[in-house]
Amino acid sequence: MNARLKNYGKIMFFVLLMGMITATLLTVSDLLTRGLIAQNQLSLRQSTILRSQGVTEFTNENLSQVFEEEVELIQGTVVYKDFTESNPLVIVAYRNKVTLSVTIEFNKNFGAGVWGPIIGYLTLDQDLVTIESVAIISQKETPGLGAKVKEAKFLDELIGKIMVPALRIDKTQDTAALDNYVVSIVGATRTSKQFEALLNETYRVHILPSGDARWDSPLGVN
Amino acid sequence: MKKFLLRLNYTKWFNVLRDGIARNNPIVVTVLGICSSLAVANMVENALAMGLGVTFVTMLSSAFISLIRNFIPPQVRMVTYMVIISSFTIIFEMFLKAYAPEIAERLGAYVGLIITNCIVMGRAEAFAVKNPVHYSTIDAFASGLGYTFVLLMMSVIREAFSQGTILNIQVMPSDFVNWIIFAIAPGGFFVIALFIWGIRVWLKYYEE
Repeated sequence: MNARLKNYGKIMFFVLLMGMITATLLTVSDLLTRGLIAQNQLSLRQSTILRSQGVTEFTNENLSQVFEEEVELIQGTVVYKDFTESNPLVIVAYRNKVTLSVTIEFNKNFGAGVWGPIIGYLTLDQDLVTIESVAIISQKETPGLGAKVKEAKFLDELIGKIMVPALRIDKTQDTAALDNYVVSIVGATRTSKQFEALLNETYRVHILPSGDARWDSPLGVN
Repeated sequence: MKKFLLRLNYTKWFNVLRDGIARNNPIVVTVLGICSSLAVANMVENALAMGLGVTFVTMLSSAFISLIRNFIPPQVRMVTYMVIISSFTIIFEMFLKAYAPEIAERLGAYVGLIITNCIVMGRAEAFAVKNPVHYSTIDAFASGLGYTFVLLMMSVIREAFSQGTILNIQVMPSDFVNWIIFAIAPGGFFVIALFIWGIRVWLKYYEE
């Protein structure tokens, strides 16, 4: 009985010790990397927005300064889905001070891909209808198939297309000549349709206030 | 030179290294790590990054398990391996996100899935828990290298046929019609089966 208790005691001690060692390792790693990860994410967002708006003359060192000089932040709130009057969704648009093109973020609030959120930026011409560029900074689609959604080859197809009445990403070639139509990714029809819905919903909430969405910024087009 | 090679054949570290890469190759001989190899081996870029990740985590966890092998109670050894492997995977993911954010983004969910890679647990149970730290680290390095090698070979074939490219460089004629099946699971099974067959014939490794 005593030997068994002693054995259990040893196991308990080992488990506690292992817990402490691994917790310490993880905490130290988190402290060492947290700041850099946050900085990387901010830099990625800022550089993607700048490139989307055609600004390429910046370095890692002067990125924040160039961003502040070039981009004007327009913030607003909307009551949308689970967000209420007391806890509204904060949405942001980034307007280029020179070209007046506008970049809006698509993320999990407005839809998702097949396997997880697709996060990125949709940049519109100053007419707020024509797509100037689309960039993706994070996605979880199938590598080699749905993940092609982030590739320039597909995203470049969207440039010059219009968001009204709605963007269409479809398998059929029949309507390829239309201004709001893009051919879907081969082998990734579901990702293409999800991405289409995500872009349209992001556009609707940011640019076309209607229904339950209220966007009281100067960008609103009624 | 001949003498040196002959002597090399009788050193333990060389045999451990050779076994991990060829004779006990984790994918084609012991058939471990198949799930992740099928998933990521459709693009060379992903295969390379995944191979490096698995090699790094296997080396660290094998070294750590070997270091504490005399203190691990047998009743909780598997749980201990899991805790150690998952901790190192999370640490690897953190450092990857901090110092190589582009690679971290490209690998996405697969970095987290290193925890479930059978090779890491397999080397811990089969080797690290019975051998000293330096041999365990060499064994883990060899297994990781063997895994990376097969992954790279598979991904070269799959990316070339499914996209017409290797590392995003066009290698197929411009009028080549992409064989999408090579990018999805059936193509993966087909290529891995050919590899297992080919390498086992080469190694003369047959199951009775």
